[in-house]
Parts: sequence; structure tokens; C-alpha cells
Amino acid sequence: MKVITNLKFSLVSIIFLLLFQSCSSVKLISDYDEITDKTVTQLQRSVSNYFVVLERTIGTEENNYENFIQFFDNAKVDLNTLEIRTSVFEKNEIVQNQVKELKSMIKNLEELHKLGFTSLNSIEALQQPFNAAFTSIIKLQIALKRGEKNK
Amino acid sequence: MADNINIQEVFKQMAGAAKSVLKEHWKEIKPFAEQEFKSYARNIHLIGKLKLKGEISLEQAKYYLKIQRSSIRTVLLTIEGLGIIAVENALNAAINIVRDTVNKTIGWVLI
Repeated sequence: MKVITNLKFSLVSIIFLLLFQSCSSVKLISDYDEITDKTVTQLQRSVSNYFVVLERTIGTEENNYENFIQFFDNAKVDLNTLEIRTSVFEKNEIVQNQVKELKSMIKNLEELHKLGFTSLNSIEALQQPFNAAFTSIIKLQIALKRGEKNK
Repeated sequence: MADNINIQEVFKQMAGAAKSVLKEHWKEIKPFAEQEFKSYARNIHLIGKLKLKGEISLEQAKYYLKIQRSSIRTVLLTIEGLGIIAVENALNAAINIVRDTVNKTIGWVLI
């Protein structure tokens, strides 16, 4: 008798669990986050400005790494904000990994700048990967925003 | 180095690999993915040319490629995310379709 009661209880629990789950929409990826979106856009603007100045000053002392330390410091602050912010949300591994890649890109850019740039072509070859990275991150954020609006 | 890089071939291989993973979602993601893969292939070619012309050292070329690799990873992560959103939307659309029928039949707002 006790076994049957336990079985009934288990069945009822499973039904309630299924009903509870079915009440909400399926969620496979994190929602849109405005702070992530704004911080990425802010960093993108800052990197764009960096490349404009870099191109303008090529071949001069103004182009030296020492004159861009502030840019790299600010970029690291933005990346730190992004790392913390993206780790807060569940099912946000994709955006977290994108921030990790962006952090690695800025680190490698800094190493390259320490070695120095000698031609406009060498700067041009850097703009494409940064543009592509920012475009793709922002594209995903916009898609998450649409997803949220559809709910 | 640069002469050995076939831009079209690099692009074709990348697009082929992405298409086989994304299957039915490829159609929606194709314009974005193809554009990024083309840029990637062109830029790899440019890095090769810079190295050949002596405008960058081997050490610098390695940093360029690391940056390029991270960039393409962010693109691939977006493609993965867009695929997940497409699946999520499809599942929720399916639930929405049966919602009214199930709720009316049972007489409770269950779904």
C-alpha cells in the first residue's frame, strides 16, 4: 500500500514538474543585456578612434606605444566590466567566450604596438579582425534583444 | 607564403564546414557568415603579403594571426548563438500553437 502511495506521489510530482516547465517559454540562451551591449559599443568606438589616430600618426613619434597606454588601460577596464557582467547571467557562455576572445585581441594588439607599426598596410590588416569581432558580438546582442521582444 | 594562400579555397572550406554544422539554419545565417569568411580569407592573404614585403617580422605575423583567430572565433560564436536563438524561437512557436488548444480542451490555463 505504501509503495502504491509513494508511486502516486512520484507521478503527481512529475506531472506538476512538467506542467510548471510547460508554463514558461523555452530558454536556451541568455537574454539581452543592455550594459553588455553599451559597453561593447563603447569599446568598439574607442578601438575605432585608436586606429584613426594610429593611421594619422604613422611614421612619427606620436605613434609610439607610450602615447597609447591610456587607451589600453581604458580598454582593460571595459573588458573587466564585460567579464564581470557576462558572468552574472545563466546560459551566457557564448557571450562570455566572445569577451575572452576580445580580451585576447586587445592583449595581442598591445604587444604588436610595443613592437611598433611601420606602414598603413600593417594597420589595415588589424582593422578587419577587430571590425568583424565587434560586428559579430553586437549582431548577437541585437538578436538576443529581438528574442526578448518576441517573448 | 601569400602566393600559396588561395582566398577562394579558404573561403569555400570555411563556408562548407559551417554549413555542415548548421544544416537547416545555414540559410538564415549564410549572408553574415559568408561575408565574414570572405573578409577573413582576404586578410590572411594581406598578412602573408606584409610578411613577404618585409613590412612585418615573423614575431609580428604571429600576433596578427592570433588576433585573426580570435576574431573568427567571435564570428563563429555568434553563428552558434544565432542557431540557438533559431531553435529557441521554433520551440516557443510550437508551444504557442498548441497553447490555446490545450488550455481550451482542459479548461485550465496550463500552458
